[in-house]
Amino acid sequence: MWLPSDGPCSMSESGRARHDSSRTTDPAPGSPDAAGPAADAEETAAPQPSVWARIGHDLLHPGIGQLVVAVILCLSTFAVVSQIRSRAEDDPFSGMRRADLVTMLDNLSTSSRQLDSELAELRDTQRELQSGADSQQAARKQAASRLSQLQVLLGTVPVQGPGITLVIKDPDAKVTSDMLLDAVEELRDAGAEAICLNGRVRVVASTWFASGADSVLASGTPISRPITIQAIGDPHSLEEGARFRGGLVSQVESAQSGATVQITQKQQIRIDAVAASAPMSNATPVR
Amino acid sequence: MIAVIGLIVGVILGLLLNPSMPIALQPYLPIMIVAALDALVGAARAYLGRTFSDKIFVVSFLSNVTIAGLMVWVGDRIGVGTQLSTAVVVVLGIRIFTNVAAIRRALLHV
Repeated sequence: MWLPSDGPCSMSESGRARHDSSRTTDPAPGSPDAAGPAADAEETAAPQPSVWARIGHDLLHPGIGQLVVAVILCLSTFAVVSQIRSRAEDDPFSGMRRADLVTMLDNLSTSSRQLDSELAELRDTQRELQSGADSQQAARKQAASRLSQLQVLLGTVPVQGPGITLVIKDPDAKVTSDMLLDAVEELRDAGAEAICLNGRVRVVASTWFASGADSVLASGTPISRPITIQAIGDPHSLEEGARFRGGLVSQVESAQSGATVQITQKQQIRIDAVAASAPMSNATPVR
Repeated sequence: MIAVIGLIVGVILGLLLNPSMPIALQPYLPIMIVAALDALVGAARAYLGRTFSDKIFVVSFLSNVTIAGLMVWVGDRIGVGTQLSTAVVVVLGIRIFTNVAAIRRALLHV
């Protein structure tokens, strides 16, 4: 733009080239050298109306030079903007010195190691506690099942389940304690898990039978007639066990005794009688 | 006027495209920007001194940018990259200040 306005460009080309090259190739012009061109500019601007008028004129009359400047400005601003953006995205560590970074890395890895070992310790503790809790729970479950088993065996709790009710009608009082004991043993042999006499005496390990004055005693309790035996177990097996030849029924219903036995299988029998369990005073387990 | 439009277009392009610099170029871009600034300020001074030539401007711009980048690159190769880039920035900074002083005198006569 200013080339045409300046007039023939070939005329001043060499002068410009010399001036420009002296400016660009001399990287450190002293203050007198810097003042020289400035003075030149003032001198050359003086005959002109004003430097501002020239700028305004050139702004309104663009030329090839302005196009070049525009392209280069465009490139430069593009580079500046992208650089600014990439700097903004950069992490703050990019500007730090290498020694600082190494120190920081050392600190970080040390603390990371410490935290790792701490984590491993805590994991161990957690595992221990968990396995402890698990084994404790398993032991508790086992103990609970053992407890219910022992409670049934000791007869300290009421029980219910399928079984049979066996009624011995004995009008002549011929049934002896031996026969009753045999009956209990046979029922046990047939798989009876809980046995109760007359709804009052729970037959357990410590139950004893004896002949009283006019009746049979079971653990000291007189068993009145007719004798009712409740047994919990598989009803079919229990009835078979009671009825086999030479067993309870044939023994009781033999000609001498003249008693009769009535057996009823039931799907649900409830035994409420409990045996008082005395603490063991003499026998202690051998370990 | 076209120059101002070019400036605005450059800013808009940089904002819109959001270019990712190639990694190999990244350490040299700041130095190249400083060299480009020096060339632009030198061009402004030459324009005010009525000695502006677009040919010289393009050549000086390209050579400034290339030499600045090359110096830092060579410095990186021989282990004095940081120092050399500091030196380039200092030299270009002095030149920019000198040229800006000349521009100030030409424009404001102070």
